Formats: sequence, structure tokens, C-alpha cells
Amino acid sequence: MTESTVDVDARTVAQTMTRPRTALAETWRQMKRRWYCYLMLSGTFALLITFAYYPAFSAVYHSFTIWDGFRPETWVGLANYREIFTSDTIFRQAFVNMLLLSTWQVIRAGLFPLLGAALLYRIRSERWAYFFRLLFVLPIVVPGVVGIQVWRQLFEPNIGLFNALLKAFGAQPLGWLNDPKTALPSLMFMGFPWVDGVGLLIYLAGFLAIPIEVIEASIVDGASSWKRFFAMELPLIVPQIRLIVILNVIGAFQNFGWQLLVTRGGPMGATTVPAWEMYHQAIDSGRYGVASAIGTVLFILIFTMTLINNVSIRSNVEYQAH
Amino acid sequence: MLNKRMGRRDVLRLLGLTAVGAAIAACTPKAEPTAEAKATVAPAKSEATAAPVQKEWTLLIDGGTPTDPSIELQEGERRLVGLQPAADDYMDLNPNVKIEWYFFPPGSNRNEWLNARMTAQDCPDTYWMNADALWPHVNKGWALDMTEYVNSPNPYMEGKRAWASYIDEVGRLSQIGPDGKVYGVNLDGAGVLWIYNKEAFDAAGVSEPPATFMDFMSACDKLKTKNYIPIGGDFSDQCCYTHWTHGHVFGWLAWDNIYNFDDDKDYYVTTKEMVQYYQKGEFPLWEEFTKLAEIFKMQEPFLPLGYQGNVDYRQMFRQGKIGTYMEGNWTVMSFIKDPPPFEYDWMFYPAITKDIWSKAPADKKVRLQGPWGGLQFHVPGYLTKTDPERIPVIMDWLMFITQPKYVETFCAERGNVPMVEGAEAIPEIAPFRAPYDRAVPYQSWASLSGPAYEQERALLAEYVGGAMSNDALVTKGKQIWEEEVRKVLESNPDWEIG
Amino acid sequence: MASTSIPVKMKHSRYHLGRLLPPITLAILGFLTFVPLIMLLQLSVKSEQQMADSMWLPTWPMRFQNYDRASRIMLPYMINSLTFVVGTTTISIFFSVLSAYALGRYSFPGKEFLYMAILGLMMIPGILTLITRFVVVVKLSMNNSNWGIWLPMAAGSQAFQIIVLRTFFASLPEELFEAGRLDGAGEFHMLGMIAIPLAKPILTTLIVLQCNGVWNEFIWPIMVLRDPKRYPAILGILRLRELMLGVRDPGAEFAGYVIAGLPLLLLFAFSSRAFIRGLTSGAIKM
Repeated sequence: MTESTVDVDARTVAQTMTRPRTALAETWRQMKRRWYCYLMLSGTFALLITFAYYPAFSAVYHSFTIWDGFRPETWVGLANYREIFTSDTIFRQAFVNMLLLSTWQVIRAGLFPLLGAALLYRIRSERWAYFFRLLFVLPIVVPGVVGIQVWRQLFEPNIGLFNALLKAFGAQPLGWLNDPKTALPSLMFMGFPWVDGVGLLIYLAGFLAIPIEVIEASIVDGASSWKRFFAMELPLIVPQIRLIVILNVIGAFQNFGWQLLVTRGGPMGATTVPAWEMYHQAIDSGRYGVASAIGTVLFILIFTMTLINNVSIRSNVEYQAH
Repeated sequence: MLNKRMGRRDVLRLLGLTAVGAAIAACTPKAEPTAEAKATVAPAKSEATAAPVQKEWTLLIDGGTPTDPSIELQEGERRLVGLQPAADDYMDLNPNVKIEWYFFPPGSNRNEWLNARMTAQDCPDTYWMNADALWPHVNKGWALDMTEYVNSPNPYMEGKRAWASYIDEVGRLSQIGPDGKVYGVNLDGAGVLWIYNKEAFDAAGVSEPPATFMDFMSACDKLKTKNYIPIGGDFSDQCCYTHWTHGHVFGWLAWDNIYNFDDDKDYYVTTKEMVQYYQKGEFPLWEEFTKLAEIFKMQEPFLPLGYQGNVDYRQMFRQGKIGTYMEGNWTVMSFIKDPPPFEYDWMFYPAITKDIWSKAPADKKVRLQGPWGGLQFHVPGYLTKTDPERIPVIMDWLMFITQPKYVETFCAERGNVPMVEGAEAIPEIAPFRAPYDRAVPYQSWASLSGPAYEQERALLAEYVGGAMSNDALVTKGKQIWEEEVRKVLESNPDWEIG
Repeated sequence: MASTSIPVKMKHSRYHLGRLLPPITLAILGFLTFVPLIMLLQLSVKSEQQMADSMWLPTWPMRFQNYDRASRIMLPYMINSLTFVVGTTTISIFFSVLSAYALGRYSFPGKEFLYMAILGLMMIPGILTLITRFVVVVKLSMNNSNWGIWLPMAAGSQAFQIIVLRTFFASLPEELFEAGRLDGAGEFHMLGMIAIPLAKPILTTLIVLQCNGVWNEFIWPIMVLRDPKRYPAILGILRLRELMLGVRDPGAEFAGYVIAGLPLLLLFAFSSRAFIRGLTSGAIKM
């Protein structure tokens, strides 16, 4: 809001005339009329400015400095950014890993719950539908940390379940999360079969919002289940798909929970991602400047991806659900 | 609503806000240093009296803590008293002081925890840390300068001499920082030996613990044919296989010259010394490091599957799957009171001999033994600014617990080595008291910095697992050192030469 | 009540497989989803020795005193978690509703800009602001206190909640509010009397999601809270990992995991209908 001065004459005139002279006065008038809107927003913005915007700007500022969190920082311009982009394989590896993991996460969050929802949508018995829904939704309450730990146990090379099974069938045991060659795929496999309860429900909601007449008509026309799915149901739930894709893109770029709890970026940097490097540089090395630089780069990436996502996913047919 | 593209005006507004925000952030007052950029100085105690000031004090102590009283024990578990007797006696003597224990959250990374606590300035009144891990952070004001105190008379000890004079030389020297000031108090020490499964060794036909490294390798071969995992260790960030191996082996490899780098004669090659000799081009010793890597490679077939990452070999040892692994004397009592279901014993680090390394000394024993006990106390540096009156009280408490009876009790419960005059070690740690020729003065790249150590592990893991040539090893190692030394100098510019 | 099946009579399918395929596939997927949960349960009743002997198959006798020990240790931490959840959710939902209503139903200068600003927040990596946010909290002397948890976490969840609620409020037909306006009701009055009651399902969904998020958060509490006594349940579990020097009780640790999940399970059981109705109300999309 960069309007500075208000033209007093125009304001006086605006008060007496129905059509104000300047856009400025009109804006001011509207602001006064909707004063309560600003009041409603004030709480949120007080919180956001204190705990979100200011820390974010401070972090971006510090990305141009060398700062250890205790002594005054020193301005170094783009040195941190240069370090990130020219440094050794760790950073390059981190970005490659992140792209792989994020792509996979978006695919699996978009695809598998969708499959589950589509199958669920086709169950005709009410009771069975409820049962299956419960089956997939119940694991939501298991804390993520717990799931990670259980999977970690499953993958343990010496006493884990997967190697026990391999040995029982006479096959060679693998290093799974401990072996640099298999660590990333193992990480991606965690959470199998990747039918996330919340995603499932969101898609299901989309399916249910499709007007019955449309479905009925297609069945009467003799369309098979597959054809119905691809030609009709899928295009109509594009808004849900878009939401899930956005949320997962944003989330996947920032996610480092696995690294923090399981792999610590290893073994030998095989599973490192920029978000983990950020945490690591900040906390273990005390180099907050570099950490902030990585974070800023991530922010720009996420921002760009979100814009691209909005522009690219389009649907010709959209029903507004009410 | 997101279908609509952001109009040009919206984009401009967003950029405008960004610019304004950046300007605001740049203009806000810079983070104030929480302590002096250099060492902080604690006011000296004037008189040698027992009673501290009459104000009410509650000291929150991290270090020497007893078992959390709120935990109910089950069968076979025992409760440790730690320094509780000392706390009880101290509180009787000084009714205005209350000692409370800080139970460090297990599973937490100590570095992360300390970072947060120093930022928030809500650290416990004393905290535990290995001194060599502390030196890179001394410039940030994390530790109080105790020089005056350690040179003051200790009223609780017989003879009332200067406090430092009651502490073993190794313990005393370990607390002297890169600038010559004393930053902590160290009352006990620790050592490392290999604990081995006697039954497994017998079953494999190994009748005597191996004395040399080649004996050790053939013993491992035999263990492997009997389906044991001979060596417990991994290259993850959990303690302790890599840097204990590095320390021991290097003691033999660099027998002739390692002490050349110990300028301040504290029997330890510190971060500052490493950084300065690096700048002179004399450190690290790359030939020796290459040999070390080869020795790691010889052990590789005997490590557990998945050694590149985290393996719980301690648990696996107790399950009888592992032949031997390196363990410290602080576990002696827990092995005695809660023994594994097989006979076990301790053995020395197998010596590196001339058949592997031509410059190896003949018949020398190297041991990791030093000031790494549970009674290492540092005090947060910011107290000089925030609460200077508290400092004499804390110091009085620390002087009090220096009394041999308390140190003995603490050490006896675990198996640590007391480093205070008049305190005796328990007979159960006899293997750790066996004579040796040299205590390891240099453990690994860990003393340079945490990230350097991490990269060392990754480099070694890559070398042992694959087809890296020795030249590539050294090249990579030099790159790492260049990078990490630069970062250390960033934080400690006064260590720069020239 | 929202039905989840196609409420139309289909011609009897010529291929029996086509009718059986959905339930069979779902059953397989559902079982696989459940396996880790089953593993967790059977691990939680083992002693250390039983784990050494046979880790992945059930062993007898089942050691239920793992739960005894775990629950006794976990209880204070669970109460902490509860405090955090209630405080954060109340503050967050309160402000989100207000803001979403303003953004969804009114038109005023700067509306799009403010909305974009909120949206942009979602793209800031949380880790970027971790340290600087901590410094803010310390400057406001909120470290080691409940406010240090409530306010920053409420701030963090505003974006998602406002986006969803705004869609919902915007979709309410204007006629509902016309009636209110004719009666002379004020804006806030209409919010409270008309909009919020209609939003109950979607609010339930958001509350449940927020509770889940706060319950599982461990990075922030570790920094902000100095006293381990104040830790949430998720960190209390770590305490079970190494009870005292050298003593480990992995069975109790797994029991702790199960216990940590119970309150969420209860919450979910009580609110599942409303939660699902909220999700299926179709307001959650972009």
C-alpha cells in the first residue's frame, strides 16, 4: 500500500458526489467501509509478521553473511551462493536426490491414493466401502516418527525382516538403507503401498462430487469401467489432483524428516537433500549464513515450481462443487 | 482462484514488499554478542571460606547425574547414584543452595542441544562436553574462563592447596584452551580396549587374544568361517569405531613424529595445532593416512553387513553374533552386573608391526586413554553478563565434588578412572590399568571439526568398499582439509598464520 | 449422509472379475498398509532377549509390563503434548477463521495481495526460518514456555487453513447472508451465527489435521524447551530408548510408540464422521 497522501479536495467531493474523482479516494473509501476486514486479518498478520515474515527476511538477509549465531555477522555478498553452486558433490548430489525424491513423492501421492479412491468408489456394498475406508484411514493416526522407526527396523541389514526373508529364500542379503547404492531406493520404498489416508479421502470427495446423472448416462451408453475412469472421472477431479500435487511439491522440497531420523544424509551422502544440508550446516557446523543461502535457493525453486504447476495442469471440464 | 495468473501489479507489489522487508531486516540492530568475542573472565574468589553468599541458589547440574529417580527399576536393572551423595552433603552444608539434576534428553545430539541452549542462554549451570570438542566454540563464549579459580586454594581438600594441583596432569592439561586459559574441570578419565566373546574365540580356535595386527586378521578369518561377524564397527556417525581405530593405529604409524605437533605440551594435538601446522604444510601426514586407510580396508570383510551406515553392533554383541568390538571402561560395571549370556574378556589393541609398516616401533603398546570421563564440567560463558553472582557458587560446588570420596563413588559405579589425588580406581578395571607406552595424542579428523570427521568417515567408507586408488584418496583428503580448515579459520581468525 | 458407492443399478457385469477386482485389490493394499502396524504391536510386547531370539515373529509369553513401564514414563509427556495441541489449535483456528472469512466473502483493497502474501508463506522452507524464528522467540523471552510453542506453530499452520477455509466461505451462497443483513445483523454476528455453524465439518477436518501435525512435531520443541520435563510425547519416547546408562528396553520403546499414538486414535474415532464429511465436502481443492 504505497498510497501516501490523500487529496483532501477530492475526498470532500467524493463524500458529496456518487462518483468519486480519483481512484485513490475510492480506495480509501472502500478501506474505511470494510474496516472490519482488516480487523479480522490483523491477528493472523500479527502472528505471521512476528513468526514468519520477519524470520524469513532475516534469514534471507543472513544468507549474504557469515554468521555463527553468536557473534556479529560479516557481510560477504554472494560468497555463500557461490559456495553452494560450485562446491563439491555433496550439494550437487543433494539437489539431484531432491529432484528424484520429490518427483517420486508427487507421483506416489498423486497416483496411489487416486487408485485407492477409484477402487473404493466402485465398491457397491455400503458396509464394505466403510470397512475399506477405515482400513486406509486408520494408519493416519500413527505418528510419522513411529512409522519411520518401524520401517527402519524392517530394513536393518543384520536383524531386519527383509533380509531375514531374503536369507530364508536363499538370496543374498542387501544393505538397504546402509548401502549407498540402495539407500535412496530403500527410502523411496518406505511407506509401501503408499496409499495415504488423507489423500484417499480428498480424491474420494472429488469423485463423490461428480453429479450422478453424468455417471448414469455413461453407464447406459455402455462405457466400461476403465473408459469411465479415464474419460470422465479423471478430468473431473483435476482440482483435487492439483491441490495434492502442489502440497506435495512444496512438502517434498522441504522434507528432511527421513534424513534427520534415519540416514543423517548418509551413507556417504547418498540420501542427502538440500533441506538436510541446511539443517546440518546450521546446527552441526554453526554456519547459518550458508544454511540460509540454501534455504533461499529452495524457496525460489518452490515458488517457481508452484507457478509452473498452476499453469500446466488444466482441465476443460470442471464442475464447481457446492 | 489460483487459476488466475498473478497480474503484473501483484508481482510488483510482492517485489516491493520484499525490498522493503530486506531493508528493514538489514537495518535492525545486529545480533549482540552474548559474551565477549574472546574468553570471558570470571571474577576471582577472594577468600577461602566454605560458605557462599546467603542468597538462595538453585544449581542445575548436567554431569555426574544419578539415575532419574522417577524411573522404576525392573529386574536386573540397577540404579546409579552418581554425585547424589555429594549433592546431599553439599546441601546439608549450605542450606541455602539446592542442587537439581538436569537429565539430558537421550537420543539428542549434544551439539544441537548445546547450540540451542547457548542461543537461548538457558543452559544448565554446568554442562558436560569433551574438551577437544569444545575448543572450536570457545570463541563464541560458550565456556567460562576458570583460570583464576583453578589456581585458587580448594578449601575442601587436604592441605588446601591450589585446586588444579589435586588433579592429574592429563586431566588438568586437557582443560587448557587454545589461548592458554582454563575452560573447565576434569576429574576422571577413560580408556578403550577390545571386548571379545571368549566362547566365540574358543569355538573358532583362537586360544590367545591376538597381539599383533596380522594375528588379529587371521583370528578374524577363523571367526568368519564359524559364521560370527568378527568385528563390530561402522562408518556412521555413532561413536566410536572409526576415530578409535584412527587414534590407535596412528599412534603406531606416526610414532616418531606425532608429538612434534604438540606445541603446548598438553599431550594432545589440538585443533589449533592442526590448523597451524596445516598452514605450514606439515600436517596431515598423508603417507600415514594412506596406510591407515589400507588397514581399514583389511578389516572391511570382517565388518557387519551395512557397515556404511548405522549398525547396532553393541546389541548384536550381547546377542552373541559379534566376535569383538572396541568399548570403553565406563561400561565395565554394567558388563559385570548385567553380563551377556557368554564368557567375555578384554584385550589390547593389536600392535602395528614392521611387517605392515616399516617405520613401526618395535614392541610398543599404544592405548587410547585420557581425559574423557563423565566428570568433565564446563560453565556457560554468558553468565558473566547475565548472572555473575552465580559463578562463585558454582565454583564452590565444583571444588566440593573434587573430594576423592565423591569421585571414587562416581567412578566405582561405572568403571571410570579417577584423576584426583587420593581417589582409587576399582580393581575391576585392572585390564585398563595395564601398562602401556603411549596414550594416543591424536584421534582423527574429528579434532579438526565435526564436518571434517564426517567427511573422513565417508572417504574411508568409500575407500574400503570400492575401487578408490591411493592417489585418489589423498587428493580427496587434501580437498577436504582445504575446505574444512578454511571454515575453522572463518570461525577463529586469530589462528591464521601470517 | 455421504454415500461412498455408486447409487445406481448397474447392468449385471458380464465379467465377474471386474466386480471382484476392486475389493481384492483393496484388500491386498489394505493388508500391506497394515503390516507395519502389526509389526509394531508384536514388537511392543517383547523383552530384549525375545527380540534377540526371534525379532519378527510373535513370541510368548507376551510381556505386557512393557506397557506398564512405558505408560508410567509417558504420562507426563502426553499431558505436555495435550497442552501444546489444545493451545496451538485454538489460537490457529481462531485466527484462520477470521482471516478466511474476510478474504472469502468481502472485497476490499489489497485483498488479492494479502492473500498472495499468505499463500507465499507456504513456499518458505520451514528450515530456513528455524534459527531466526528461534532467535525471535528468545528475544520475546518465550523460550522454554508454552507460548514459545503455541504462537510459532499457530503461525505456521495459518496458510493451509486459510486457503481451505477461504474456498469454503467463498462457496456459501449469498442469500444466507442477505437474510442476516436485512435483519440488521453485524458482520461479526453473521460470521458467528451463520458461517461457522455451516463450517463445522471442514473445521473438524482442519482441527484433526492440526492436532496430528502438532502431536508429531519434534524439531521445534527440542530447540525451544530447555527442560526435558516439558517435552511432548514424541520426545518422551526417546527417553524410553535409553532409560539409564547402558540399560535398554527396546520393547518398552515400541510400547511407548503405541501409547503415543493412542490419543490421536481416540480423537480420530470420535471425530471420524465429521472429519470425513469435511474432506468430502468438496471444499478441499484448488
